[in-house]
Amino acid sequence: MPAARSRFRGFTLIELLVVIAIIAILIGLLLPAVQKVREAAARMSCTNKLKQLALACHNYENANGKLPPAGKGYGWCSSTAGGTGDTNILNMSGWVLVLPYIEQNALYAKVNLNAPFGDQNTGYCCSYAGNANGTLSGSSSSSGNAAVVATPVSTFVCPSDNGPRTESAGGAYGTGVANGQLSNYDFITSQSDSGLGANGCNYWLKSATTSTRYMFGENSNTKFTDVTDGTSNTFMLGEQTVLTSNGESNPWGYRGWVMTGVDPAPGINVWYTPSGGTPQVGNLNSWGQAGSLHTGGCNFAMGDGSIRFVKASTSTTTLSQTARMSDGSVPTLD
Amino acid sequence: MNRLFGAGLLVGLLAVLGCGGSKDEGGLVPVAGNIKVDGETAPNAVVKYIPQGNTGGHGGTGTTDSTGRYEITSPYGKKGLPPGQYKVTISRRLNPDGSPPGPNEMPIESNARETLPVKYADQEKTELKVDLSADDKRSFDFDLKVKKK
Repeated sequence: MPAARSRFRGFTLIELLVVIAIIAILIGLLLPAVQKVREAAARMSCTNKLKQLALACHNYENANGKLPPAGKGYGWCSSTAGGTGDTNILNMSGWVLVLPYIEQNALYAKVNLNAPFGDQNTGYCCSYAGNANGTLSGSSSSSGNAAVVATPVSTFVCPSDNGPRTESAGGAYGTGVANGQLSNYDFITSQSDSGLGANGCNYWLKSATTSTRYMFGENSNTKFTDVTDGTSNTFMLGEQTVLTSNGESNPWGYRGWVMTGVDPAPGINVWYTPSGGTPQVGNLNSWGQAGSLHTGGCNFAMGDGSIRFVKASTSTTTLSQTARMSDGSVPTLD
Repeated sequence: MNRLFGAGLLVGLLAVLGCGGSKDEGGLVPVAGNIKVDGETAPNAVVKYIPQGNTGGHGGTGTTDSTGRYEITSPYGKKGLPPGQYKVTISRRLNPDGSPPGPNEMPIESNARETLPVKYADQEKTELKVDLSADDKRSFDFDLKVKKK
């Protein structure tokens, strides 16, 4: 009998505590691993979407003989009457033209290509005059275009970035009426494409030279044969976060004040640091810069459609040489 | 005793899990100096070093204090620059009333405008250059001539 009783004596407090401690340790080991797998999956999905957009650009080039422009008819760049600015202010992003190639035909059918996508027709403020050579014909609300660019399109969303995805409706960054949807991907364009200097509109078309030209810009019409540095050595599309400190990130459908695209030249993942503070990861330092929330760099689509993860430690000279499509230098990205 | 041991083990394991390392780039040369405009000290001027040719790194910027002194910091917050060739731009944006823009005011949304000529302030047109060697101890001073004679 005593032997039988000791068989059913139950557990002591110490034994229970030890078991609970072991379970806690195992969960502690598992959680970081689950988080890492989750980020790895998000990153893979992010890379995949960039690849889809790169292939869409290739298909567009096949069908039209040239790549889409980064945008058309900017109203906020500087131009005198009779100057370099487009006469019809559209504030259109080139991605609108790519919609049929990413299975968004229904959305493309709603677009009016001859009407504005955003109503900004002056500079931000002050002495930035804007495009005095152009006029707005109609508005983004009456054309229905504002409603189109306020539609979320999952191809432009990188799941690693959980920042706010809508742009305010009014002001120099808005469409005028609707909250535009921000994108994590955009064309590789020079920051000079903002056209802030006198007659700076259409920088790509009028001012850039063969040694400084990127693959995209306002009214750009690059053919793959123009990329003399080699399509596998030249950036075509880049990644950005949806949060930007100085300026705003790019929406997928329209171009507001200095929403030019992605320029890798100032460096990758350069975050905003308030004076005396610490860097705010995910909040890009300035408009038009490249960055992502993947650790240590961001993805780029090269001209040949391949995706490269480029480290943030890459020197700015290498980045700008890789961004220029015909400057004669072929740097090695590591 | 057993309980103490278990708790100790748990704390030790959690400490190991929380560890991570960071890599540091060596060989940065400290860069600092004084900026004058027409012989007068120039506070609130932004000095930018842009790497040229095969110079590595990301360049850097520095803003002059009330004595006109600047110190270059990389975009990632490191002091100094790798040796090599640099173009230098010096920009001094002031509001129409002559006051400097606030420390956290966004330049692209600001009233402030460039007050220095393009031969100093523009990235493409600047005439200022620096060749930085690994053991450079110079003070990188610039005296800008703005007034027309």
